[in-house]
Amino acid sequence: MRLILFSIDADTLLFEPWIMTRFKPTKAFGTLLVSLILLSSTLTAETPTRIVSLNGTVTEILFALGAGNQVLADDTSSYFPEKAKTLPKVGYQRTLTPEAILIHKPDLVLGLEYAGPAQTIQQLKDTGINVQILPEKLTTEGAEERIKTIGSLVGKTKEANALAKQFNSEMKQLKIVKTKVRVLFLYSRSVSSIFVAGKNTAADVMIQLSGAVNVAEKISDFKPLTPEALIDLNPDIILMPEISVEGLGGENGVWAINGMSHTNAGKNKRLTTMDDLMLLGFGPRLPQALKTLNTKWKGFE
Amino acid sequence: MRKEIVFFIVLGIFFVLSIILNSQMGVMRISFHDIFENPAETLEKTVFYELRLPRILLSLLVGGSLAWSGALSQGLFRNPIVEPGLIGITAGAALFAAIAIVLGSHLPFLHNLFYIVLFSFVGGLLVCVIAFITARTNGKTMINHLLLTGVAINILCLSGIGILSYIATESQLRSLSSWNLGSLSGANWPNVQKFLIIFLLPLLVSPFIAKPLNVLLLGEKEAAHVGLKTERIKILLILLICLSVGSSIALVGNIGFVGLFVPHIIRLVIGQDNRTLLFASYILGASVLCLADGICRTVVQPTEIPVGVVMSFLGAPVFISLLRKRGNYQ
Repeated sequence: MRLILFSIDADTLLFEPWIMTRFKPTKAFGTLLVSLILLSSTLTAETPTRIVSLNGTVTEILFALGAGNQVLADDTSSYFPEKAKTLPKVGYQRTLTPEAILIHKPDLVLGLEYAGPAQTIQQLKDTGINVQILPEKLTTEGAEERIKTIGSLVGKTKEANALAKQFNSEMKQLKIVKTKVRVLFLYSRSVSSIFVAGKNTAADVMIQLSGAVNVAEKISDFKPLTPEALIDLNPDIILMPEISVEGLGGENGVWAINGMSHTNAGKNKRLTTMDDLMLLGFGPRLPQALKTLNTKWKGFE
Repeated sequence: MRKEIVFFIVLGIFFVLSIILNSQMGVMRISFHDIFENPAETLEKTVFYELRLPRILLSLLVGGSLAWSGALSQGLFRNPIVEPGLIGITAGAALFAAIAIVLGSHLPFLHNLFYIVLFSFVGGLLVCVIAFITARTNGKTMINHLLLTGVAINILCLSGIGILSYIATESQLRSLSSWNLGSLSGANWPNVQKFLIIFLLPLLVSPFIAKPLNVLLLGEKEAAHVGLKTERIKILLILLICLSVGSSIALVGNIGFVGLFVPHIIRLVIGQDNRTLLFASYILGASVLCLADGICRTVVQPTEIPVGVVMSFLGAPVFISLLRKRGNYQ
């Protein structure tokens, strides 16, 4: 409401001298003008201009759609494109607090289902703000759908359709060659807690889509890795997000993981790393990520 | 007497101050004009009345209840170093609350927060009874036995929570870990309303149990000679402690230390008389947790650190310095 009033004020301020000097406005013209102004202001009211993004992929899509200037703040998982890094941060998407988001007076809070804790999301909704939490779909169709959904939420339907079309054609052009390369995805924050990605994870889907085999497919979700299990799984190659490798103190830290030296990957020092968002985000760069991975796998066959 | 009056005046000022400070702490600047005078429905006003105010109230209620439970258990065991955490009540309640978090979907009766709280209370009670029974020899509660039993039970419950955290899903694990260090971020009006009576119970029953507790301080035999029904009183006290601690833990998680050092400080300053000790513990506990919660929202903006952590940081140095200054008060 305030937004509508405000834009009327602004418009009136802009139009008044111009009307008075160039035209002798009739009553009808005035009415028409006022209704036009009202119409335009309701349109601006529906297009969110103060977005807080709670997820790196969402932020990436917003920027890709040209809605980057509508984003006021984002979470710490938002670091692509470069400009997203410089926005004020509201915290990490899983450990949000309501006040940190509300202080930006958003007219749209947009996140994926990881956004939490649940009570924070509920509290945000209780204050009457438009909160949109999108489901996580780990498929290429889901990724395309998400671009369109976000586009429609932020008044960028046309741009979203174009981006989705481009995404779709890039996916179609991918010539993924099925390989027998056995990949293990590791995720870690420190040497003491290393997890492997089993079924129902973004990493598992990425390994399969890129034409390789996930050696941990018998496990579901992320599970702690034991040295014996690592030797038993015996991957040909280790796939890791860049941040995790840094957390282990670089590539040597990966080879120093207990049991690693007894696996094919450890013996041949085969490690593939990729930026976290590109690898696991299922965003606009998904085709690019799959292509890169498939090229790697073919090189190792 | 004069010392007591001065102390209560200072306590009152601290209580009010902690509420004012808390209302002004956090990411959003909310002026008094927004809170009291501004007739417009501003976002700041909404944030204050819907988020901050219930949180302030809950911190007061929980802090008060925990400190009061500490004072009560110290009186019950006639030992100034006991707190509900030491004899395993906290761990028991925590284990049961963790069971509710992780296995709640498989247990049909745990869908409602109120039942989770009740479940937690039962856990605390169970552990307390076990500790009590084990620590009794020849009709006397041996404090050493009690503490050792408490340690063992704590370890057992922690292992249980460890197993639960292993089988928990990621979101359950997150709520487990945040809850393990205590957080008041879940505060809202329905919760405050639902549990108001449980957390106000300490203030309501204090006048009735202060005298028997004072008599109990003489020793169980002596108290019985005076005509006190010691067993009945003890069971009542244990129920009250478990209810307070269990409810607090289920609602806001594990907030340690407040039950130990708050009553201790009161004892050091105004002495052992339960007629003032219980009430003063409640008020000081409430103020301290309220202040700690304000701090935890401010230190690592825009997120928050668990309030249990702040509590320990605040409490431990104060406690140690007090002990060093006037350690021998018995």
